[in-house]
Amino acid sequence: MKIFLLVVWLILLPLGIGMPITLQRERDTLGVKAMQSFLTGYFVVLGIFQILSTIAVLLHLTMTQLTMVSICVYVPLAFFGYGVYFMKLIRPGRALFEDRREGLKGFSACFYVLAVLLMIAQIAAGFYYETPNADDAYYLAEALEAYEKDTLYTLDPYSGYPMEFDVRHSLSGFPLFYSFLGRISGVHPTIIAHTVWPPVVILLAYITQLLIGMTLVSREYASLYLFLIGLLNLFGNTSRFATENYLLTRTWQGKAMLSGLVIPAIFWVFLYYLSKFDTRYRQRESIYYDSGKTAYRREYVTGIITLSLITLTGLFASTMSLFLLTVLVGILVVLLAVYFKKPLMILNIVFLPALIILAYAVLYVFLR
Amino acid sequence: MAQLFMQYREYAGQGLLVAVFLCALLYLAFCYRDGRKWLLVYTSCVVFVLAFCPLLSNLYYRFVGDDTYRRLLWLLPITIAISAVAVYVIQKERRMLLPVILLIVLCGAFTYKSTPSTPVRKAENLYQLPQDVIDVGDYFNGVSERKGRDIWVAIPVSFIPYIRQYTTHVNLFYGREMLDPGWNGGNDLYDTMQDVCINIDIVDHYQCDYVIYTHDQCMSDDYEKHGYELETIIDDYYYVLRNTRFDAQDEG
Repeated sequence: MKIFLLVVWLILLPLGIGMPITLQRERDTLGVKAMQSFLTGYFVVLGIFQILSTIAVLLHLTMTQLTMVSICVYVPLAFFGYGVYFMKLIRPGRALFEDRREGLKGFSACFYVLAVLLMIAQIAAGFYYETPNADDAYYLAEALEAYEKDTLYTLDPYSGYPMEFDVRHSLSGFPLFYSFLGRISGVHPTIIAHTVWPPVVILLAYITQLLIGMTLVSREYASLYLFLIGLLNLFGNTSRFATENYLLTRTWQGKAMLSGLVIPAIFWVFLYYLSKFDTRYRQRESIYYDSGKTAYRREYVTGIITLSLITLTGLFASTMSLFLLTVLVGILVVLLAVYFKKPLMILNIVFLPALIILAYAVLYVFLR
Repeated sequence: MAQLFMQYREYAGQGLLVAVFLCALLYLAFCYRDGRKWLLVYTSCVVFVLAFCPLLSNLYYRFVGDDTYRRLLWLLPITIAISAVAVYVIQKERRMLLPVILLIVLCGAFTYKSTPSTPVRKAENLYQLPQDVIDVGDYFNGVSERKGRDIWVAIPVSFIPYIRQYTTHVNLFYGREMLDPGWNGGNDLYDTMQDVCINIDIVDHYQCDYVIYTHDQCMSDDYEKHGYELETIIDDYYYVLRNTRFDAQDEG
């Protein structure tokens, strides 16, 4: 029963929630659409949880109340998502997905198999090995306080004493998310964090990289790109601060999500914009794009929504995002505005994410 | 500036993979003229400049107050750029596949290699916590349920990072901050719990509900005279003493 509940909440729910946004984008194969939906769905789930947990912490609510409100938000969203999907599926006319099966042969298929094997090996290593880290004494004890004591960041995780408001940690919701998953499935939050959640993060990180690969190199070679990413993760332990090291050995910590998932996802969104709006790039890689006004607007708007959700996911993972995402998005916006010579179009993309960051920055300074 | 450079070195390690990354950026800079060059090459250049910018780092220290400025280097798209350029090269010449793989393997370091900062060991359970911590935690969960309240325990130093990841019904007088090399505060209970012979007067002073010490340790005085009683021995190694002074209070 516990496994069934976790499958529903960790796979089916995000997949459904991500569908309405993904289906707004241009037609693609079922596989790509499923990956986009799963990834976007997680950004919605984690982004919404970040907002709800911030409100709950500020209003001194309990974990029970946060869990109830989250369920009331997620379940209708998932039903809505699957509803939109089935309505589009049964509507007569052009097929919902493209059929490109002939493209998956030989070289490409071989590297897909190798890349998936590498990913499975890394997930299996996460089960087989434990890589303890002293920072867990804060995050996971905080998750357990919420799970067992029904409190949100009011007790010192190290000792159990009541503590003063810790703004740096309290504004990121990921420990509470383990509590939430624990509450809905009945699984201990430490098992969720150390055993259940890492496969999800690793899978999301690889999906992000595959989508980057499909945009940055050709579709045929995206599998090779993914395989090389897997290899770099496996041999990326050049220092204990390296992002690859974080992704595989501290997967459950927000820092790993930020460096291994959120930052690459921001590159994905901007690469996606490039692949659609950069004619030089499209010509070189022979990328087809429906340049009609409606398609353009849809791509543009879904990109903004996705970037905003990724920003919220970054804040969910760590308050460090306030600094890192501001710098990264700032650099990308300035560079692309110069490149495209259309500053307004690029500035519009980051207006909403910038507002989110600004709101959290004000909260951070005000509560400090 | 020297501190920024040291932080960079801490991040880059021996630096071979960063060198491969820089070569990948050079390749992109010379062979590509489209937006990808702007996105990967110029972004990396700006991040490098900011990583060594004393003004921004000073602002960061003032605002955040710790030495995590090196995390700015997470913004470098190292894996993305290396993999993409490797694919571009292999696309042109398929014979480059094996050298590219060898380059990554030889310039990198195996992630699951155990190091002092990141020990890698076989997981003993789904919690991925030491089994003895779980055995002790289970025992105290039972005690806490019986007493109807959380219990205050003096624990062996090796338990500090783990015990409250398993149960929050065990409260501690000292936490993980004690293990931090930068920690300036002191705690005499923590100090004595590290000793081979634990000073029972200090334990007494803190009024712990329970004290756990290992088979390799002893008490400085007869604990029964101080109102403690040996309640159980867990895993034939951890001696659990109960403070009997709280018995009447808990029963009441």
